[in-house]
Amino acid sequence: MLDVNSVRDDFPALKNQDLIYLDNAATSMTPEPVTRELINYYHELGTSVYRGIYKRAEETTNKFEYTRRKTADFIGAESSREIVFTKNCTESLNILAYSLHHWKDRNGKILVTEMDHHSNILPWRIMAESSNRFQLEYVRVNREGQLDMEDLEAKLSSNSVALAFPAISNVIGAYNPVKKLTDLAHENGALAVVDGAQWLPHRQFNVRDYNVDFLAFSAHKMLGPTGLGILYGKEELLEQMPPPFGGGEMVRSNTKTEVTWNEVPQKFEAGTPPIAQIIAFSKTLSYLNKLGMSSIRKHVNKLTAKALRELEKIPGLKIFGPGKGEERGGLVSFNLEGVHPHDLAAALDSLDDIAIRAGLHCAQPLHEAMKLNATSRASFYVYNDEAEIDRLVDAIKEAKNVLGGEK
Amino acid sequence: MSDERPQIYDQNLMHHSQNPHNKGELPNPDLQGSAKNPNCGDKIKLGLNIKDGSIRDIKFDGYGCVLCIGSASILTQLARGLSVGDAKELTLDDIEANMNESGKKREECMAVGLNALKQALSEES
Ligand SMILES: Cc1ncc(COP(=O)(O)O)c(C=O)c1O
Ligand SMILES: [Zn+2]
Repeated sequence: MLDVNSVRDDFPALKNQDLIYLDNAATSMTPEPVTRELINYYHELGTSVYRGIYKRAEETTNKFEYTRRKTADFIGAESSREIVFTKNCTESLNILAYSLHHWKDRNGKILVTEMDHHSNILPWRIMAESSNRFQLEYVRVNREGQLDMEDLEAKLSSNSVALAFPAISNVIGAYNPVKKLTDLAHENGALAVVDGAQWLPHRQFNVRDYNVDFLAFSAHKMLGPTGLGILYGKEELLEQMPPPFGGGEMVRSNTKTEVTWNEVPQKFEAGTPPIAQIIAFSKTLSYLNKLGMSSIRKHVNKLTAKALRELEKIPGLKIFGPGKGEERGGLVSFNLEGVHPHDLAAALDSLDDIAIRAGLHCAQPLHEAMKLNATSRASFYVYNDEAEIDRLVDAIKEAKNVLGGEK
Repeated sequence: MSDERPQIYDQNLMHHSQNPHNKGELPNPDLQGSAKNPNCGDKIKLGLNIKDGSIRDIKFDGYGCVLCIGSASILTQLARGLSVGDAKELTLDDIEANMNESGKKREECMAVGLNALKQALSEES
């Protein structure tokens, strides 16, 4: 069980504030041990990594590589060589698409799903539109927001290069059967690419149990610093993949006639990395481990269940996504009859300082598939409590009076 | 929650969004335009009848938030009767001039109707 009050004390941006922050699926708040470590880097280290012959640079490099090992442990990777640091989840997926683009013996279909975030659609779209070696296809989602498995099986074939899908949808919270999808991809010789942005914050993800080829996620959604993403890739794949970007760090030797790339994962990390963020991310992982991923999951599940229960009672409020009793991520998307999501979000902000998200959530194809114009989304995390959900529900009722009244 | 209800949007705008003027479809529009707010799916379609270089009739339809629909309604009132040249000069400021209280203003939402009008007029010299 999480002690929310003591957790909240760790978050300077929430401490003694009225703000009810329910936009965690967009980005999370940052606990003090993490921000302190960011400052520590600038105040006590301040050097780059790798190049230095002096003690200070060695210390920075050690801390930097320590985070890589910790990240590998966190997701059950075999080795820290499988962890590539990037700018965010989006960049992780772009690096992957870009590298596949240059990987000459891979040609054919790229499958994405209609429930993907734009960041797991557009890199593939750009890749497919700039080369006739690739064709982009969408796996359909039904009106309830579930992946259409028949459509998937019909579209997956021996000429599929990759199947890219979200572990959890950022709009409707639907869980996808990661292992099953990965196995299906592999049976057809395709790479399984998982967007873990919404999963990693709440739940243990073991890359070996799920046997995924690639996993992308962002630090800032899981109590980590902004400006840092992770791309996990199986070592033997990373070894074969051409580097997408050139620059310092990613090259071993570069004469005018010959070039040798650095080893993995440095081959994918061109230029000076976000050193402070990477070093501080180890404190994020310690913090998550201290709270315990299973306690976090239970806490978020409890809040989500309460939100579903209470929101359902509001007349005219329709909830989207998985049905009752089905597993879902820590978020609830809904619409209130007669009230535009933008207006609802604006009203909750004005009425009781409640932050929720409204709009298309960077997932236009999903809204199209579900025939929705826009949705409102409340998403929960470690520092939220049940009283905040009561206030959310009260504010929604109030908003309905204020906005929907005069019609 | 306090007893005093905080103001979310300007009252005049709220009124326009709840009772929009010039809402619907023109049977035989001379010009048509449409625009979207890509962040939230707000969209406005707008039709115009032009006579002697002026906007004789204007109607809009669409889906959107209070700011989007309310601004479109105000806009159609402002545009009706204007010469094409003058209508092309309309800006968000002209819409805001019709809002007297303070409230939330999201420019991308308020501009959807204006963008649809600009598109409709872009063909017309
Ligand atoms: C499912 C999903 N994938 C990818 C992203 C992109 O994350 P980022 O903007 O940190 O790259 C998000 C976050 O918005 C997301 O929810
Ligand atoms: Zn809007």
